[in-house]
Amino acid sequence: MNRQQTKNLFHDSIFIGPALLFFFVITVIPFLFGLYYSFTSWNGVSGSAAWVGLDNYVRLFSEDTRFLHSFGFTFRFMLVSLVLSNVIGFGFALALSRHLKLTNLLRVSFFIPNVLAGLLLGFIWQFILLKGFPSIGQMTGLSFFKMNWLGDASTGFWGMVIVFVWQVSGYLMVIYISALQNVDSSIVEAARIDGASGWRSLIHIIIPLIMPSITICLFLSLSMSFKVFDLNLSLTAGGPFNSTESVTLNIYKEAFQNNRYGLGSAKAILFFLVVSLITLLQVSLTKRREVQL
Amino acid sequence: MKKVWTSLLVTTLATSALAGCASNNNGSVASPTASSAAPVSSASTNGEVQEIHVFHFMVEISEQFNAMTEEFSKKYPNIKIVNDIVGGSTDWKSDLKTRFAAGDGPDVFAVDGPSMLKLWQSRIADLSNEPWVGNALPFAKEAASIDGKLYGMPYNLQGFGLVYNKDHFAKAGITQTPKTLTELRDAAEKLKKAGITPFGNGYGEWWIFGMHQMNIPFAQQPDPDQFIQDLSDGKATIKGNALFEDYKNFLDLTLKYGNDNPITTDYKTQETLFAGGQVAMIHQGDWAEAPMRQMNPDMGNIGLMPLPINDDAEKMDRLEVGLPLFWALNKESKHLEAAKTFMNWMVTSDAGKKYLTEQFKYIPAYNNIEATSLGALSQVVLEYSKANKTIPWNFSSWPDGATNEFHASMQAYVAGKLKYDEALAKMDEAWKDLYKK
Repeated sequence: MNRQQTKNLFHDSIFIGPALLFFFVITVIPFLFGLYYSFTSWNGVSGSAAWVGLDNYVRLFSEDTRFLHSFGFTFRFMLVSLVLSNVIGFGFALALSRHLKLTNLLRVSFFIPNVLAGLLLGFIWQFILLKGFPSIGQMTGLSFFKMNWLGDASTGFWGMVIVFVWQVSGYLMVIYISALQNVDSSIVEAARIDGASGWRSLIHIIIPLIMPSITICLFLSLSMSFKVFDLNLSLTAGGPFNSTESVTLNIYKEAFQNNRYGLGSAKAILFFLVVSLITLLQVSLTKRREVQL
Repeated sequence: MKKVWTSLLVTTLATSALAGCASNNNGSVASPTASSAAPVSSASTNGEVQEIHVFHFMVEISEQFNAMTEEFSKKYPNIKIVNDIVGGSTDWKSDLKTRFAAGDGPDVFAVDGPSMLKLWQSRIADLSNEPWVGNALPFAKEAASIDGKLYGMPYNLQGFGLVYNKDHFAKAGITQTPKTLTELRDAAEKLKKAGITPFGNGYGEWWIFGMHQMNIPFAQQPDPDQFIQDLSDGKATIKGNALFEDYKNFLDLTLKYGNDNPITTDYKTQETLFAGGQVAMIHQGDWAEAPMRQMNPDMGNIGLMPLPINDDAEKMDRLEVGLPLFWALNKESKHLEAAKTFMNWMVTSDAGKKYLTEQFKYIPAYNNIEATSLGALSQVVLEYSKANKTIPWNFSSWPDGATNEFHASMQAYVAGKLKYDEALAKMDEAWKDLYKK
């Protein structure tokens, strides 16, 4: 190692060190703890944890239908939210990357839901869906508002989707706006002169050029919707009859309500593997579509 | 190289995803004392102030409770009490666990029944030789004992049943409180004719439905504890049990004569309906009186009656009465003696007794404390207790998580997703799974 390398290493560690340390203490170590607990039958309270080997994992696959059901729900929720939040976010970004009088005001107002905590949003929307909608329904007679919101499996599902999309779209919009503003306008103009319609230049020029930000947005909305927890807890708490229970909520209930921390940890590890797999797949797929000028 | 970095980054993010979900513990803590819990200095010498952390879930009396602990500190200047009050609809049990996991467990904390005492047994002190033991009500001590040792200090009694609006009953021409299911049906019919919705069902709330209401067919069994044992051993089932068949009739009655959207009606909504006079009966407890009077001072006369699920008048005329809270003592507390002093003071000193009865308006679980200033509903609970016309709170002996599973199964029945038999079968299944630990 010569002096130059030593110096570089020193610089690198100054910049990366603190973040790495925090990541290690806050993420890696608890993760390893969780891995250990997933092989035990710890109840979350007592001082000792009995080693049970792979029992927890076997149990999950053989007899826990509710866990599998929560995976199904989360999957459907993710697909629908992913599409809706990106389409809406991108739409807002397109509309607001033009210079309107109200651009800044609108950008802020679309972004605000993201600043609020998901837990609060859940409670606020619970009030809107359970108290607000019926009142509007009584006044207007519109059947959409008169539906039994959050009272059955399908309205519960859509209730979750509505609130989640409303929360996330503004955030994705900001990313898309910055990407759109970075598109070289001369290329778009050249396409115009060559006779490309607005639609065609969007599909063949703009979208390929902003592919990196699409990768990021897809990744974010995918992992956010898959890991939805606070919103789920406060909006429906998994009800009615566990029909809107996301995987994270199921894990939480297993560990803290049923006092089966070991089983809950096993679920969490499994969940981690699934999330990693899906996000890796998505990133590699969209990465391939990115173009270099 | 770029590829490698990307995939590394993604894995990192995904890992943090997991950690995020593991630590996503949104315990919203209502701590009115703004305790910036400073680490308690170990090795307290004489004359040094000892800090005792008290954790409980009685949010409805948080102000009065803080006043009480201040009173205590006046008498014992070298003991400082720090209150953490977490409750209402928050998940206080998880909150308690995380405190212990972080090595920051409270010294004195609330436990809600035998099953929770068993869970925490390895961490709490034996209280068998404390001064208050002689005066605690026998059945209360029994509930807090494991293998002949007393692990929890009883505090108060609560009861629940059908809270009913006496003015509405009078208006509908109901002169006698219904004692059987048939009489209840007649009463509901009369109320409906008078233009009043008879029942306000809070079937969105797990504890109203899955715990308090499901308790009745359990607690009405000839030998409830034996029944629970048989369920766990696979000798008995919920499905096909006569009392659970009876319960269906009661449930159907409340649905037929009930409010709209019972599945999304929670505790607050239910209280609002009743306090506003829109419904005549709700399944609630004596704790609901004060908040409802606050909501609507002109609520009128209200009463409490047992909830009949069949026509056996003698058996059905029993109120669900039990102990909502036991005080447990953290074995590893640095100030064991000071904590014991505080616990003892709560139920033996004049000031402590006065707070219990006059300020909290609770029914004491001690034979040497006279109940005073009770609300209308608590008065009924006391009368039924004295007349020995009670059924136990059986749910505190169910496996952890059973109440939530029962709630889900019954909700599915109410929503028409499951037949009643199927819902009961699901409850049996859940019992088996949860009992396995």
